[in-house]
Amino acid sequence: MRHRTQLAIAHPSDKEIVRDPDAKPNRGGFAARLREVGQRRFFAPAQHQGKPQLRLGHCIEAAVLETAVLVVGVLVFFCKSPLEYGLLPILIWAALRFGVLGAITCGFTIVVISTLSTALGFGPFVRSTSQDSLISLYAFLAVTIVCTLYLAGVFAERKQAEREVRRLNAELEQLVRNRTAQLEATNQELCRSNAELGAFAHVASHDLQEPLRTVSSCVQILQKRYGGALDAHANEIINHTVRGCQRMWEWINAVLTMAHVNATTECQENVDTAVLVEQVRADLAHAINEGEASLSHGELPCVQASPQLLAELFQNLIGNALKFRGDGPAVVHVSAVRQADEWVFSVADQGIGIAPEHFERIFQLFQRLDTEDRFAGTGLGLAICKSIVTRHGGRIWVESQPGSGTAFFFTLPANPQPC
Amino acid sequence: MPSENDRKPVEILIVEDNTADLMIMQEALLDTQFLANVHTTRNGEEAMKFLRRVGDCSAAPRPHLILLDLNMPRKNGHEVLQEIKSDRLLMRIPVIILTTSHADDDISRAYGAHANCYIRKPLDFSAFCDVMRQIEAFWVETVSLPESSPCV
Repeated sequence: MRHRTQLAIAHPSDKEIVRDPDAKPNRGGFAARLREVGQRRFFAPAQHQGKPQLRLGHCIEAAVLETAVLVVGVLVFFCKSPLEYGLLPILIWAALRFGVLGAITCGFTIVVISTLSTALGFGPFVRSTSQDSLISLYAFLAVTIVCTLYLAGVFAERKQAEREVRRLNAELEQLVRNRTAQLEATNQELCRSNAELGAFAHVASHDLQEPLRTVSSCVQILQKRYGGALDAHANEIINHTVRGCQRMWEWINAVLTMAHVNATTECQENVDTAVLVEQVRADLAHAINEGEASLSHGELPCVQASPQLLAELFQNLIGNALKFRGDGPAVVHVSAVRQADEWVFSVADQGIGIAPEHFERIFQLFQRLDTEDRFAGTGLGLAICKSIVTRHGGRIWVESQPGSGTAFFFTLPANPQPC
Repeated sequence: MPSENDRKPVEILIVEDNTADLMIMQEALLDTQFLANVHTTRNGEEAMKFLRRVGDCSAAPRPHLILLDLNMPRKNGHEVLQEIKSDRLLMRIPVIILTTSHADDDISRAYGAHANCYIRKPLDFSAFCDVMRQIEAFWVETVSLPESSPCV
């Protein structure tokens, strides 16, 4: 009971260090003592106070023990009391409390008293001849003292083992302290680089976009005010400049999204994916209406995720399905099926499709399969999707054939809670 | 309801450190035929001098509307907003934050300091013109603004 209370007081990280994994039920007391030793720094003041008392108590105990040996010895060997086996518990006491030295001292005292009394003709071992008396006495003493010394030896070994465990515990604690210091240093380094990344994101979002907007806007003003005075070639140059700025703007935003995905650590909100898909439908309303596209979805579950990141994921996948449509209007269907402890989502279209040899490549950074003229894009959309899915502990893959549509699949861990 | 022709021009104060942005804004105002007297200041300190009519700004009119950039040297937009909204003479003037930043922190700080609206500067000039048109449609034609020189 006592050591359980101590565990509760101890620091959680120290619990594991001091717990003795080999502690067997029959060694409970011993294991508890080891744990006590392991936790000594939590109780150090009490122990310092206790130490002098312990020494004084030891001396008193030794004196009492020696007196008991003398008294029982004299009673047995000089006063004819039938107490010779009463010496055994006293010897065991000496062996357990004072080790081999205690056992020898008490044993020696008994040998002296008994030999003296038997020689003088007193005590329970007196026989007809003095030789018989001494043989009888030493047979008794030999058995008694050998057993006591054996007990003392075993106990000394245990004490030695205890000291060894104490030393190992101390070493382990030191090792853990070193490792903790290393981890703390690494953690600080990570925090610092995260902060730097955040600062970079801010610089990118503001300072890089600012001149871009200036260039783009100024060129457009130039075209608006002086377009009439410029020839067709000059106007084309202006158009290229504006388009270049637009692309640069999209790139910066895509890189920022990527940085944001990697910096997001909170992915544990309860998100209704059906609501999310409807939200994406509203966000993409312009593209959907313009291309007369149809976006439908089956029954969609609730999952534990970051709503912003999951919206980004659906927006990218549905946006892709709308963009890479075939000759007719895009038809996009979102669905989910439960497989074991995860949900498998799919975003399927009937668009231009992807050749199997590109399945791996499309999820890599800056990989594009088409020219900018045919389909605009940064080559980051699916890489961002992969990051988001991986961040939530899922997988993403694609199934497609050129000309017969594409289905993107991704998994998310199933949510134990209902919507 | 007065027609657009007999409306008096509104006094607008633009607080913007970037000359190119300032020019783009003025061009957009010109393009949208925004009926306004535009006053410009280049940083937060100048803006506060203008609003408090300190020194050579003693004859400055009280603006109906303030277009405020956030990232500025010396005194930034957040500080200017804070000062305007805690000054009994200036707190009634609607402040429109017009900035490149779309950081959540900037947005919530601005509304926390009682900004009247927060607009992210668009990349495109025509989108910028749209923003100016919307500002005029809402803040000048739809809403009723307090008098330009309130007596307290």
